[in-house]
Amino acid sequence: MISQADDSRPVDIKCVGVTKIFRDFWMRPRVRAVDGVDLEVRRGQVYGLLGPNGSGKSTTIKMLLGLLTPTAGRIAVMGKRPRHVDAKKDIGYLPEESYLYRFLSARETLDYYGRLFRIPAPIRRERVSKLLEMVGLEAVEHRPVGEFSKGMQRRVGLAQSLINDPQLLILDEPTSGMDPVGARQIKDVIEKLAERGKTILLCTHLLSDVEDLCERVAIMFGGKVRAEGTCGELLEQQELTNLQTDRLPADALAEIEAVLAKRGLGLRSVEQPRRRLESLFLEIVDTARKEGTHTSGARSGGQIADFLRAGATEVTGDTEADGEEILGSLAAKAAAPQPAPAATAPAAVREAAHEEDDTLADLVARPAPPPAATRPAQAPQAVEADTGPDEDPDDDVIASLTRR
Amino acid sequence: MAATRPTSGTLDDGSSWRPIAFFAGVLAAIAAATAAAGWLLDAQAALTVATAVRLAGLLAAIGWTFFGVSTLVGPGRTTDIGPATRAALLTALLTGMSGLAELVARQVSLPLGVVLQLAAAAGPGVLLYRAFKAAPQHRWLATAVGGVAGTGLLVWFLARNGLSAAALTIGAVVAITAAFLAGLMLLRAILSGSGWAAVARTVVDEAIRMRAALVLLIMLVLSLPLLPLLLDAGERLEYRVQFLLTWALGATTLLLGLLNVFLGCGSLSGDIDSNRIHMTLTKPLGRPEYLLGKWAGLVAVNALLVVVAGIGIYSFTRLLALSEATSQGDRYAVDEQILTARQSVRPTHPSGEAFEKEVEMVIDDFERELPDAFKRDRLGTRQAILEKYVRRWHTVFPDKVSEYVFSSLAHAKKASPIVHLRIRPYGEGSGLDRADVSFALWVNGRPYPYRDGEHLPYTLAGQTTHTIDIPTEAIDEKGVLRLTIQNKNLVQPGAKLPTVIGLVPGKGLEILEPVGSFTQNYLKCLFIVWLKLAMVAAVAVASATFLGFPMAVLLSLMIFLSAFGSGFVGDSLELYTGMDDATATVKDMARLRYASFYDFLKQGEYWEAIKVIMAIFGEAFVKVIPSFDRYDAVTAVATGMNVSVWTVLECILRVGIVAPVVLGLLAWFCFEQRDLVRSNT
Repeated sequence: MISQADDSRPVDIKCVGVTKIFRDFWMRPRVRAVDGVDLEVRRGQVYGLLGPNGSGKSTTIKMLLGLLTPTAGRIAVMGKRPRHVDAKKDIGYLPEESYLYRFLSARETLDYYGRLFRIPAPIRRERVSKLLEMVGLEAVEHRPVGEFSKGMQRRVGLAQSLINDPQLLILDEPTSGMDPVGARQIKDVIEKLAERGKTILLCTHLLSDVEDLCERVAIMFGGKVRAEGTCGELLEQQELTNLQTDRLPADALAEIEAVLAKRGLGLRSVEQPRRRLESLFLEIVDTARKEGTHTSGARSGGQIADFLRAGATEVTGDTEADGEEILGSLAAKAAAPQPAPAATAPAAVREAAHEEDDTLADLVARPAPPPAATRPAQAPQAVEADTGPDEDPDDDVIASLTRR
Repeated sequence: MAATRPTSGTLDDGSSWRPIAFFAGVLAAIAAATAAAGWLLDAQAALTVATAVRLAGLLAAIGWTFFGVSTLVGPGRTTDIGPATRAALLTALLTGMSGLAELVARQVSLPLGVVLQLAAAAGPGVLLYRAFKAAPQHRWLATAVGGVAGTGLLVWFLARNGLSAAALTIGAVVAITAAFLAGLMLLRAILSGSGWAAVARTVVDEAIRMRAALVLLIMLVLSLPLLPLLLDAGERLEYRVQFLLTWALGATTLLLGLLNVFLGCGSLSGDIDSNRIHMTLTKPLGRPEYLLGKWAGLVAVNALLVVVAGIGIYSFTRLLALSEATSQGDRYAVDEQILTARQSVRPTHPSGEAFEKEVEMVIDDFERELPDAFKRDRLGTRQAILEKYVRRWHTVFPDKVSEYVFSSLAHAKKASPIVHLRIRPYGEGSGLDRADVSFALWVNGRPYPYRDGEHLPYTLAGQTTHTIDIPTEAIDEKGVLRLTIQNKNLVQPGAKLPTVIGLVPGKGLEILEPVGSFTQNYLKCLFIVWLKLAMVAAVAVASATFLGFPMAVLLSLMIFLSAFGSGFVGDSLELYTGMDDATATVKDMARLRYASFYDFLKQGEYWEAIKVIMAIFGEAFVKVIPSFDRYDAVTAVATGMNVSVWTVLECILRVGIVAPVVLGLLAWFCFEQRDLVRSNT
């Protein structure tokens, strides 16, 4: 992997010390949404921007797009100021929700955005048709977008972000509101565009997507970048060494090194083991929180509300049981005769579940205790399949379902 | 329903004429059966039953025809019938039904003919609606085109059968609808470009598809034909026509102004509040371009609606003007004083420039003798003295005659047999508010009017505007008309001399000469209305650049209503503060306000002092906003007064260019500073 400093590719996005303070009506600083962020995204990179809700990701993106003016710091996008009209010619943007004119049809919507890019009419018509076909809306192209479901509107949003064949694609939560097929399609689009040397800035909560797709990652919390680097750099565990050997007899485990030397077994590989991005993400957020870093975004959830506990007590008749235990036991009962979900969850997930504060873990990784009636047995296995290195696309679809 | 199944069954054999033959066969059978049954019943002398059977047969034939044709023309049923056959079938149906309606109207009964023709008129719309089921994007347009064509047939039928008022009314509605559709297509074509034009086109679509503009238009289209009906037919036609013009044009300006406020503020605020603006401004489109697009879109919608409403108002005015007048004078007033464009000519003193020079010399003498009187406000004092002299010249004393010279009337002499003398006299010192005034006139030295060897005096109600026709043959070759007025007022009891006749300089005495046509004048009026709306649109867009929807609407409404009722607001301020500022300069006004504020404070009248402060704000606000009253083309058109080219040019400059440019710059500045994302953390 080329280090960022040695990389000779042109820089498509550059932020230096970017800060954004939102002020109230009396111009008093109210929220410091972004605080001294430095970013550098080079041509052809797929760059992941991660962070919990309210960590400043969307604000950063909106400054890159010229919708917000930074309070301090400098931004260059495609070598120009973000507000510069020429800079926006090569940018495609998919916001976290599709904000469309309800009265325009899907075709008119795409045609409208095409005209904003000044694409000549014949090319525009052709591209609109192809994009409508790509996102599967060609059959309803004349229906007003206001009649579409959220997922269909997201598809229109995706199509409009690609109408200018952008060099830089900025995707804010691209898979939110999408069905599994749509989500898969977005991943495919990202992969295809990355192959064609396009730059992609991906802002998402789906960590496995980032791990699969992104060359570099920045993790934000409280408006600051807490970690930045390639996935390899960030996920390497320097303090451990992983040895992979031939199959060992059981009695040799205690004196493994000696036995290896004595019995002449070859050492096949020595490597730094990798963690999952999820555990790194949670660790960073946890550290930041312990350091007392201020965030104006979502904080981790507190204890289960009193009324839930009270209700649970009445139901079970156990005065000592707290809400979590009740929910756990309910899930375990529902999953019977399968083992309880907590017992089969992967290690990282189980650790997360024991955190003092586990809302983020819930959001990003932990499979929700599966509702008994709908999916009693498959859910834990699906999670395990997701953790495997070579996923089957179908498994991925299921995994993304489970995660959400 | 069951009857068509065999039809579609026979289609599969590939013969395109079989379903048509089947259709025609059944139709012929119905006709033959009806005719035969009618003949038999006639022979039995059962005439009522025979008529009922014939009527039933007729209805069955119509029903079958409609059903058959709509099934054959509709898509997906008869794939083997080509478009040409379908079109031929449709034409045959409509022609046949129209012919039948004509026949029924002449031979049987007019109402039945009208009903038949109504059915035929509905045909094209209904059939096209069905035909375009597979292409919903063109469906409404096709239906509307069909509707217009069908109603056109109906209008033709009504006109042929002597129902011309109904024909004209429906015709006007059709013309309005057709103009609206054609205009809309034209606008969409014009705005099919990139950048700001794309934004503008979206505003047009928004206005049309959000139905706000449509509701407004329907209100207008429905109220226009009803308005003449609401007016008392016994009223003078002159007043009815004037009322229609004033009301309809005024209401159009007001309603479209309101539409602009809500649409302008709503379009921009809606984009910002719903985050749609994120999708638009992340494209290569500058913020000024976006604002220009919003404004241009509103201006385009205004153009469409002003033209459409304009066609409607014009048609109904012409229609109303055709109706019977209460008298010959009434007819004359409608044709020569309203449906025309006249220009006002103000008099000059008989001694010409010498008069002004003389007055100037007198004022110079005053100034030399009483320098202190001129010290405070030299120009104002001189102006006040000059006005006193002009007023004295406009006063007809009992023992003297007054003379007024109207020049540049050569064009009127050639163009028209008469010119109108508009006079508003009042009796000074009669003790009565509207006492009659009497005077005798001489036109270029000849007594007027002179009938049966007698010079007749005029006796007119005081403080009221009167129009006296003067024949243009009285105007001399140089285009000069010399008017001499002699005071013929009665001597009041206890007085030695009759009262003095006063004429307010300006509108108190003027000659109105025809200079153009009503149509030309009306078009200028519509153009001015459109310019005013362009300013309102700029106000709405500018307000929404820095305010949320409710506050932007409030501010825009305040500005629009101030401009719309600027004359009224100005008068109210004068009444409120008891100060007349018609001729005062800004410096004068500031000095005057300060002095009165100080005086009120000294006298302990604090509320009066506060009123002065409020008036200052009110005046500043009114001064900044261009006054719509200054370009009151509606009143001009309704009174048959020419809207001068200079008025139009000044309006273009001030209302159509300067105001939108200033507002645009303000909007640009505000919008550039604005963060388009609210903190949601």
